[in-house]
Formats: sequence, structure tokens, C-alpha cells
Amino acid sequence: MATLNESRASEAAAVAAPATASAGGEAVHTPRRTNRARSSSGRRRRWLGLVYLAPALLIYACVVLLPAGQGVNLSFYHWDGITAATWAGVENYTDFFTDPTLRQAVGHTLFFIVFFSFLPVVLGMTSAALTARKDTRGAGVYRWIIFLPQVLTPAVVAVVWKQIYAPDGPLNSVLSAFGLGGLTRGWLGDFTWALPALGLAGTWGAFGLCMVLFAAGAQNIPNELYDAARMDGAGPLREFFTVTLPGLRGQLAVALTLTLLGAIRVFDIVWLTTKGGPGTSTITPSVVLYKRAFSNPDVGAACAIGVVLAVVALIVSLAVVKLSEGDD
Amino acid sequence: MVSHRRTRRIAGALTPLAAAGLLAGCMPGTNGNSADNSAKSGAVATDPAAMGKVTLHILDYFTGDPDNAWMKDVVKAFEKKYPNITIERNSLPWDQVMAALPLKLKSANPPDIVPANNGWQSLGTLVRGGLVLNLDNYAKAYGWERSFPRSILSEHEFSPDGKQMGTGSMFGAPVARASLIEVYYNRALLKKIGAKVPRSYAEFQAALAKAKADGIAPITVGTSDQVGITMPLFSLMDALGAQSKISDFVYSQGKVKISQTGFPQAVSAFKQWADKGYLVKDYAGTAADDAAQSFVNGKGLFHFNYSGSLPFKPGQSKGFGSFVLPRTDGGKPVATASSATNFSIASKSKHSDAAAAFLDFAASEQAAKLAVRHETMPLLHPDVKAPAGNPLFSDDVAIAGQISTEGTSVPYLDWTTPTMLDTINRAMQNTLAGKSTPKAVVDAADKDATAFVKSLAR
Repeated sequence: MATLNESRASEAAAVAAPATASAGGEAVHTPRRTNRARSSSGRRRRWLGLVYLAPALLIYACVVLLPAGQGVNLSFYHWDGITAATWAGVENYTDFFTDPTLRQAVGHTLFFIVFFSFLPVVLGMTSAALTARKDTRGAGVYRWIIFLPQVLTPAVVAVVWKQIYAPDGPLNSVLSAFGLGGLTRGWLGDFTWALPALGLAGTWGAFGLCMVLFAAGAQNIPNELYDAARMDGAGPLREFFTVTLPGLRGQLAVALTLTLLGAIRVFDIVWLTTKGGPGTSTITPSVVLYKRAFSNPDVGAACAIGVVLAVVALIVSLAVVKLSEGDD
Repeated sequence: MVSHRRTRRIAGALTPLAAAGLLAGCMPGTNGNSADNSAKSGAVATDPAAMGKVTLHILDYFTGDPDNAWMKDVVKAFEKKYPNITIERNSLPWDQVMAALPLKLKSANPPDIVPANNGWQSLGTLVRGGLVLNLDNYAKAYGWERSFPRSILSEHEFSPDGKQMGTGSMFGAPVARASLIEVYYNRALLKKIGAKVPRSYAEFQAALAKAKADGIAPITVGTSDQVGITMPLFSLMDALGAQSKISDFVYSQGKVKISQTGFPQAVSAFKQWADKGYLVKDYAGTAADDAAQSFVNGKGLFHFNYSGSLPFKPGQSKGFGSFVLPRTDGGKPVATASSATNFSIASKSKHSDAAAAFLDFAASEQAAKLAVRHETMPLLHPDVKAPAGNPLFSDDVAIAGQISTEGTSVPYLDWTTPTMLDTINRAMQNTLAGKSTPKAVVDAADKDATAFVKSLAR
């Protein structure tokens, strides 16, 4: 089912691409607008376009749609990957309500949504608002440093944070140096702190992307709007809510889509640090999926998790698009 | 209007998806082999020189040294002995092998020899699916049943219907290299607390207490990535339980419950070690590899791990030694041990005679000697001696010899079910953190085993 999830990600990336491009310079029309602008006489040409697209569509169908269909099919069976499968009906789906591990994993997803999505968006928005109206010295370097996590592979990010949270790692050293030795602990082995610790690592990872998106978007907001707001006596807060925030609606949709999908699918950092432990205190649906698909051969159950994740991701991204369009 | 258009678009996207689902609508797993797992009738060839020109394909997970160096040498030696046979190796990391094995074995041209992991997670399922060859005829021809210790032999056996492990036919063979759980010790620290290498369980406990009193971490262990727990836990079980009960439980022969294996006592003893502060501080937040590294750096007296898996720099191992945790009843030490890999032959292999000849060679004394030359623990050949000058490795070779001679190995407890390792790790972390009782670990393992036995009957 990984392919299904990846397809969501690549679609999200496709959504992101035009938006970031438009943020760079002259406003580029979104594909939707171009469609609407097309006259009916161009219909024939549209078919020609489809012909050009056919090879790509064919490949897409083979590597994404077909496996996705197989995944949906498999999710209705009990299958160890080797011997004949037995029909399971919706049993693999009812697991979400009956399997305590899976229920806990869903709860953790909600927790991660706060750390992987809402916090980075709020932080990114704040820093964009602070730097939007004036040329802060060294802003480029500052942005580059905060954007850095986007460049690193998840494996590196996991190793770095594993070190930071290690019992003799930098975090505990800093705490001790400030006389807070009583607070030191093995963060990733602590039932209470492992989940927030991984959450913060996720915030660090997603913050840069949000900030760069918003900063680029803010540069596109016409200065006249700010001038007008000031003429009307708006303070910085008022300016933010009446000019900056509405101006960033497109970027907000992209940031929310990407980070929400990231939170729903979170796997790498958990797998590479705690494997869902201690106990099941950091387990996520993707980790359960991976274990059922590859460690303990229960392919049907893994597929059901994948299907549910994909459907939830689809609903979430549609909801974000709908909300961001507003009265458009 | 907008929403209407979007609905159409979604429907458009979902239609091919649904179509794909229908296309794929056949039941999975039915186009595989029908599992005929009986040994083929008729004589088998055992003279590789007379097999003509053959190319054998081997899949293995020996990617790092000394594993890779050993395997390379074994292949070289075999090819030298039988120039008509060419061997092509494909080495992949462990998890990739495990994930890809079923597909590879189902393909039209599978590798001839594959490293199916013992236990239900891999080999058991492959046997049930009829993907690996019944080796009974080869076992007879090569005399494996006489030359291998019973306890090692059982680890490669399944009933032909694939419902029982540890009995029936051979579906794989061991190689002449061991992988076992042992206790490492730091010579300088042991001397510092005025103790000798523990010969009894009581002496071991006394050494732990003394080290703690002297401000030395008694046991380095790291459990944060759910890897380090089973090494001390299984050692304790082997010291506290009966060898036959442990084996019988793993082989799911139904008569033995996990409560009879020494497992409950082992869980309680481990918990007591944690409560008494015998485990290095912050073990819960430390990864297993980091714990091994800190032991090598001299940060603790004892360390439980697999043979040959500590990250020593050249010459560094001189300061260390190894032993198997002594039994409480004073009997011969029992170790959780197996061959470094199980090698099975693909059912579809076109060169099963040549493949079996290689299996026999990989288990031979020559292969064991090559293992020792690369300073990795031999198996099956107790007479193979360690080279001088590496005291830790001498300990290792002595342990391997003892286990081979006395037949005192038990299979890994986590082979019992595909999910057992996960179950034990999780439950143990809960208990060590004081979130549940030792009994909860036993109950969880029991539930896991019972559910799996039930699923086997299906």
C-alpha cells in the first residue's frame, strides 16, 4: 500500500509546484483558471493533449492505480503473502475499532497533527509576518538554516535527533549546565516524553518549509494593501489579519496539505528511533502497517490500514482545498 | 457548480481505481504451487564433479565482514574443488532478503539457495506454501542426521504439511558457523571488583551486586529501539528453565505452555535486576548499538549480545572475555543458538543436486576452519581450535565446541510465532518501566502463542 500513500504525496507535491512558482514572481495562472478560460472550440485540442498524455497515464495506471486496486482487493483477505488467502470481509477494517494498538496509533496521529502541521504552520506564519514588511539583515541565511531539514534525508534527521535525545546527548548536557539536572532523562525511552520528543523533531522538520512558503507568498502581496491598511490606522496585528493572512491563503492550503499528509503518514522518524516504543507509546498507523506487511506476514491487515490512510489523506486534502477556496 | 465539477472529477479518479480492483479481483495466493512437500523419490547425485557444467545462484544476507569474507572464501574453496560448478552470489541486507524472499521463490527463475530465516516468520510460511525443497533424501545421502547435533537439526525441520516445527523433514540446513547469545565481560573491571569469571549463577549474581556497590555499571544494555531486551532475557530463561521445555514450547507441539519454560522466572529476574539498579542508568533511552559501544569503551562489567557482534577496534578485544550464563541448577550451560544462517533450496531450482552439495560443503569442517580464520564462531565441528593470541575469540570457540558436543542449544524463543518478538519487546518495556507486572509479559506471550497455534489449525 506504500504506493498508494506515495501517490498522495506526489499529488500534493504537484499541487505545491504551481503555487511555489507563482510565489516566485509574476502571478502564474493555476491550471483551474486555464481550464475555465478555454473556449469550447478548443475541445478537439484537449483530446490531442490526452493523446500526448497517454504514455504517462499508462505508466501511472500500471505503477499506481493497478497496485492501489490490488491493495484494496487484498484488504478483504487474510493473507500471509505465500499460502492461499482466506476471505476476511471487513474484518481487517473493524480492527481500527477493536485492536487497541491500532486505536492508540490513531490517537498518536492526532497528536502528531498538532506537532507536524499546526505548530509549523503557526510558527512559519509568525516568522513570515515578522519579516514580511521589512528587509531584515541576514534573513536569507536565517531562512536557509531553518529550511535545512528539508534537504536532509529522514534517516539523517532520525540519527541527529536520536543523538540529541540520548541520555548523554546535547539536550541533557544543556539541562545539566543550567542546573536542571533533575530533568534529564533518556527522552526516547520515556513513556511520557517519547511522543512529544518525536513531535518536536517533526516540528523542526516541517517549520522550514512552511516559513519559506509563507515568506515567498508575503513578498507577493502588493505594498499598496499595507499602505492602505496603515492609512486606515491598522496596527501590526490588524495588518496581519486583514492583509497578510488573506494574501497567504494559497500558501496556507499548500502548507496544510503537505504537513497534514506528513502527520497522517509519519513513519520514518518513528521507525528509525523507537520502532513505536517504549511499549506502544509512539506507535503510528504506518508503523503498524509496515510491521504487518513485512515483519509479521498479515498482508490483508496491512492493506486495510493503507486504504484507510489513503482515504483519510484524500478527505483531508479535499477539505483543505475546499476551505482555502472559500468564496472563490 | 464548483463542487459538482469536483464530484465528477473524483468519480473520474475513482473509476479506474475500482476497475483496477475488479481486474485484480482474483483471490491472492492461489496461483502459487500446490504444496507437495514430500521428498522426491529416487536416488540423488552426491558427486558434484560428475554433475557437468552448472551455475548455482545463491542469495544471502552476508553483506558485512567477517560474514561476507567467510562466505566469499567458502564459495572460492567450493569452486576450486569442483571447477565445473560456478557460483553467483547475490547479497542483500537482511530485511530486504526477508521482504523479497516469497516473490523471488515464486518467480520462474528463483535463486537455487536462499537464506530463509528459521521459525514461523519465514521458513515455516515458505514450507506451508511449498516454496522450499524437502531435503530428506539429501540428508540421508550426506548423513546429516548423524553428523549434526539433534538440537541444531531440529531448527531446520518442519512436518511436510507445514503445521509443526522442529520435527519431520529437513527443509533447510545449517552452515558451519554459529550465532548464539552469550555474556561478555570486561576483564579489568572483573579484576577490580575482585571476582573471577562466574562459574555458577550465584557467583554471577554476586558479581553484579559487587560491581553495583563499587560504582561500576553491572550490565550495559540499551532498549530504546526494541532490540536489546531479548539477549539478557533469553539468557536468563536458558539459565532458569529446562532445555527440553524451551525447545518444545518453541516447536509449538502443544503440550508445553510458556509458563513451564522458565520464561516467567526470567522476566521476574530481569525486572529485579532493573529494580536493583544492575542495568546501566538510562538503558531505556539508549539504543542497543550504543550500549554495545559503551561496553566496548569500558563503561560496564557485563553485556549480553550475539557472538561476534561487538564493535571492537583491532586489538581491543584482548580486554574482554565471554561465557554462557551458568544455570541455577548447576547443569551444563544452555545457550540460545543457531547456525549463522539457514540455507534452503528453492522448490523450482533446476540444480538441486549441486545446491545440496554446496549446502553440505558450507556445513563441512573446511567451512568451519575458514570461519575460525576470519575470527567468527564455528559450529558443528567441536574439534576446530581457535588461533592463539585472541583470548575473547578462544572463549567463543570453546563455547561453540561445548554447545556442539553437548547438544545444549535451544532455538530462539521468538521463532515461536511471527509476532512473538514484537510482543515480548513491547510487554517487557512496559514492565521494566513499572507500567505493568512481569505476569503481563507472560500473559501477552501466552496469548500470542495460543492465537498462532489456533491459526495453524486453520
